[in-house]
Amino acid sequence: MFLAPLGRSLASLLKEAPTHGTAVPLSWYDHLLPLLQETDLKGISETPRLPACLFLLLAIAQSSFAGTAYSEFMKPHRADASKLHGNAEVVTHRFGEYQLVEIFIPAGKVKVTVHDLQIKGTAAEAYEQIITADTVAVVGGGFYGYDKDGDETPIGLTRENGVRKVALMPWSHGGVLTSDGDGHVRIYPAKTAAQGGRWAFALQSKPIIVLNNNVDVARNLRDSDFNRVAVGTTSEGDTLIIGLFHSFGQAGTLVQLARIYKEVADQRGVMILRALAMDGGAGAQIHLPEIKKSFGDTGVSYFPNAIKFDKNSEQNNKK
Amino acid sequence: MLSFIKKHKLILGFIASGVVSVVGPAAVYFQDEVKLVIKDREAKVEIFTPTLKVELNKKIEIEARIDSVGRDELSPGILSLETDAQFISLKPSRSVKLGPISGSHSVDSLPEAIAINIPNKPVKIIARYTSGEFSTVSNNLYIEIVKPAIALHPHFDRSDTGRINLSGEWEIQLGGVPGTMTIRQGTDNKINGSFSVPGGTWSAGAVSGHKDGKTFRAHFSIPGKENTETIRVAGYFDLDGAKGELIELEGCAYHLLRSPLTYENGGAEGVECTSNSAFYDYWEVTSAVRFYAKSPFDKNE
Repeated sequence: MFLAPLGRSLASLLKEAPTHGTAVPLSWYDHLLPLLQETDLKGISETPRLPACLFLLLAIAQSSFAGTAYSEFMKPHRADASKLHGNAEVVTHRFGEYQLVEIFIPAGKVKVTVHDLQIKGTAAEAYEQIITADTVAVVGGGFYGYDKDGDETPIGLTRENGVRKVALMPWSHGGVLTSDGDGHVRIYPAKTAAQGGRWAFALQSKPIIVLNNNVDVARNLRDSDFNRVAVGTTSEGDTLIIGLFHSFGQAGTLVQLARIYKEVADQRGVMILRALAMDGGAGAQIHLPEIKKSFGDTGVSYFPNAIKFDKNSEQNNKK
Repeated sequence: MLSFIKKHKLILGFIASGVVSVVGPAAVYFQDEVKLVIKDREAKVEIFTPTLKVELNKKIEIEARIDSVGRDELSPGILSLETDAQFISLKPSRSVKLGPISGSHSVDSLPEAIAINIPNKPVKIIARYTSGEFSTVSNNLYIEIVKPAIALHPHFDRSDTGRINLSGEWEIQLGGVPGTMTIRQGTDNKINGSFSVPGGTWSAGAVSGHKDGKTFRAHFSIPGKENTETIRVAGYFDLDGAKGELIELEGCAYHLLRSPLTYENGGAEGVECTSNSAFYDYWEVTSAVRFYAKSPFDKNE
């Protein structure tokens, strides 16, 4: 109670603090602002208020690095929307040093196919081979590891046009994105991942970050700031693709991606049944040939597979 | 006594036949329970490890043996490892099912134990064997979890098969000028360390970045100018040599200056080492040179 006015004045000072033209995210004060404004430390005498406040400030600053991408996203920022083939819509957001791409595709409007690539090169080179005039988007796919000789090898179920290219991994979490190649998309959780074998196209990845419109992932030791992409579906069959990017590839953790994903879904008013994270880091890619834009690491890497979203000409013709 | 039996033989015979007629069927009906009660089942469970000191994020090698020391065979049961989950993770679950055991039995499908946190004292592990009503526990193992030592060379990470750890000392060339780089890769694939190129434009500084898949993305600092300048290094690594005993990393190093510029197209980093081939929001590329690094690779580490 006593600290609240001091908190508010400090908060207002911080809010107005110039960034000196640098793009270093000062996101910790996003966490600090509401806390300072709501601080109600009863029983603290007049004398220790400032030290207590400074201590609080330092403590919060130390512990709040994890929220960077999310807190920057929650600030007012620039967002540009464009229409794509198949009534799909893309919105690109710029906030701080981050970019977020959201693509919403209404049910049945695109054909989703999985492509076994196994290509070493840039993402642009890898995806060039599958992009057609109907392509709405190409999204980076699943994981890869190494064989005993150190050569790259894809990991996780990959089915392309009814042919199993890579076997199902017995992961206890994550799921399988499936498609009939004709407008129907579904994501199965790990316990029923074998269902992926019934579909023409399937790609296994991990983890599921949003389940029944709730964040469903917790921070673990390996979760670090990387570029991220997730693909989710609603029970009606709509698809929401979210990509979080940073120039140096240090966009955010899976937890941050999940929180942003849910925020975008809520803003759109869609109930996401499941959203499955694809490979992060250099593998996190979104290419939009129709508007000649691509997002993700631009350097050489290994691309085991990709998910392609093409305009569903047959559906459109029927209508 | 004999005279008593003779005198009352009719009554005693009647009682005996009554007892037999009741106890007999009851004994048949409850035979399993009766056998269970009088079964002599005993077991001794022992767990071993080749080393009581394990590095963080490494697998803890545990072996278990069950000796059936009773008269009767042990019926199918369960062996569970018990420990502090805050420090040691057991996967896929903490228990394994076992068949009947007679004599000595080595358990070869124990849960995988991974050291996931550093405690301030050794962590206890025990095994509990349960077979029906019978249950016993093993000896205690006390595992000390320690910080990983810096590996001398990049290597396969044994605790996570198929991953490459870039930790170690590297010979580097920054724009053709030779030097060294010493880095350490964390469990989250973050990289930290230092570089030294005595004859170069940027002679020494810190290295920070990350490894992902086969990509190496890092910043080489320019001491005193950390807020306004950096060297962005982007490369791709491969195992080389006849037996893959060498690891090579090739890419580009870009000198960046802080700028308000943002770009619609990011170009392609680490491919063509020119100042107009890669673009980074809020930075301007002033020059680019080729980056090369190599180090011995230890496949068996």
